[in-house]
Amino acid sequence: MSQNSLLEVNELYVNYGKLAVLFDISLKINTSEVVFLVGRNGAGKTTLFRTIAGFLEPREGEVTFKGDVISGMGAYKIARKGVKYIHQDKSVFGDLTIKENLELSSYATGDYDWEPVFAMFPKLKILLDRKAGKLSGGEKQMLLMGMAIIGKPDLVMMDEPTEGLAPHVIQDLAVSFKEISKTTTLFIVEQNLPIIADIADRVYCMREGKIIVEEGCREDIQDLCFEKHL
Amino acid sequence: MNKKLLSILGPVIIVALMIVFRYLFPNKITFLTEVGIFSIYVMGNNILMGYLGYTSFGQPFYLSVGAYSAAIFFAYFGGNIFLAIIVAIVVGLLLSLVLAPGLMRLKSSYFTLINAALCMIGVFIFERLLIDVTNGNDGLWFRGNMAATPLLDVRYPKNFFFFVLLILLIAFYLYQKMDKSAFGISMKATKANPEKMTFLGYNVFKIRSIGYAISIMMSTLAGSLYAINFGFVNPNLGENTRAIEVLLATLIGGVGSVFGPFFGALGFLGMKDIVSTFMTRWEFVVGVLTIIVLFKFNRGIWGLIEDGAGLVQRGRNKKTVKVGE
Repeated sequence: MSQNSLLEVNELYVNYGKLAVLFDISLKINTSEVVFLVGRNGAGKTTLFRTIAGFLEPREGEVTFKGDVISGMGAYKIARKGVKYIHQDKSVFGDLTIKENLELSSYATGDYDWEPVFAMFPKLKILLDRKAGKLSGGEKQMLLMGMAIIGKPDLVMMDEPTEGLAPHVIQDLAVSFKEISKTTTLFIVEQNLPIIADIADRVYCMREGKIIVEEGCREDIQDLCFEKHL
Repeated sequence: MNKKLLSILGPVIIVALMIVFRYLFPNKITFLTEVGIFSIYVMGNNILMGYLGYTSFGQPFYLSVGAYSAAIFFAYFGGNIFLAIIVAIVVGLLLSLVLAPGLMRLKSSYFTLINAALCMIGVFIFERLLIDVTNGNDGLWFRGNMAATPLLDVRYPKNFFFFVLLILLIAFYLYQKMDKSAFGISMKATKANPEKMTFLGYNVFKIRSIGYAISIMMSTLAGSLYAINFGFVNPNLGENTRAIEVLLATLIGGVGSVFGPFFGALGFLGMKDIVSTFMTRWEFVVGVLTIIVLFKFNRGIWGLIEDGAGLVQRGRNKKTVKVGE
């Protein structure tokens, strides 16, 4: 493991039953980086995220986090180690208020300081007693990100956070990504190329269950050079 | 009435109204006592249904375990009523420790069916396997073995009614505390989205197992109170056909609410009590009424009360605005 490596995926193979979906995946996320994972639908991006988060067990290979092997560990134990995963469906606890949603995150981490959350998403403080199910898509995403950063996790993984959101909301979220990345490493599945060009330190491209390209040059990322591989 | 005031005064008002009814209708003391015990039983089922998202057809099994634990204690070990209740609760806890590792990993439909099977197994155990201890279908009589209790001798129905109300009052406050606690919110969130809870770092299995244990202990507590009330138990108490009663009462009252179980118990037993006075097959009318209630008011009686209170509040707010204008 290199000095500042936070997460490493080594020669990972994942199956759904007998169907192989990920093949020989190896990647590395360093501390304080913003890394994006891109690829067409069905490329295996979400499967890779779910495997890292502990919801799927690899057939072969391993995932290490801060030097410890986490593959095969229970998903909740991985979350407790500091890996937060924001699922693509933007599901919040709709019957609970925003306050109760944030409380759930606090109970789990023991961190009751919500000021960083409100500093980043002031709207959440105003809507504190509103049922989360009544929030707009953008507000739900803010809540999910707020819940994820409580407890100051080392790594936040987000699966298509801007999907289905209005352009002005996406712009606001891009600003939030930059803010979060000052204190937390981000690993994001995203289809929105302008955001990637704006904030990515590195980009991995996936196709048909394999990583086909790793792009680490800022100029090339800004020029969207990886686009030709998609 | 705001929520905080409701949480403090609600249980007291309910218990006070029960006492008023007891004196207004002295011949209904048995009915009111049963409402109190059944409320505790429904509260237990409400944890499974309303907080954890499990439908159990096995509640009569847990109820009968509680009833037989108390009955066997009285018949063979001693007459202390409080100790018998504690024994029933502890047996409920032990039973949940044995069953939770298997049951709490199941999907709701399997949980439902396995619980139905537990009822059948329970009836067999109490009727046949332990016949030397339980007297099988003849039942276990023990009223004569129950010892007098200090201050209020709860062996007598008129005193037992107050004892049940006291337990109901305590159960209400503990239930409210659970509902508002981190654990209560965690249970509701687990019901809504267990995977998301895992993402947050929660051990969903542990949350479900603790909730299940509380539910079972409430059922065995109710079972022990039934046993004391009747001074007798037989295997019929655990028949799985009776599972529908507690499920309907939970639905009628309002699933997942604190006060719903009481109103569900009152509504269900009330309908049964009234209808059975003029009709032998009361199940038909109660069934139809239940369907109407559930179709028309799917948040149950408590939901209806909350909606009514909301309307009144909005009406008041409008008046205040007009005066201000």
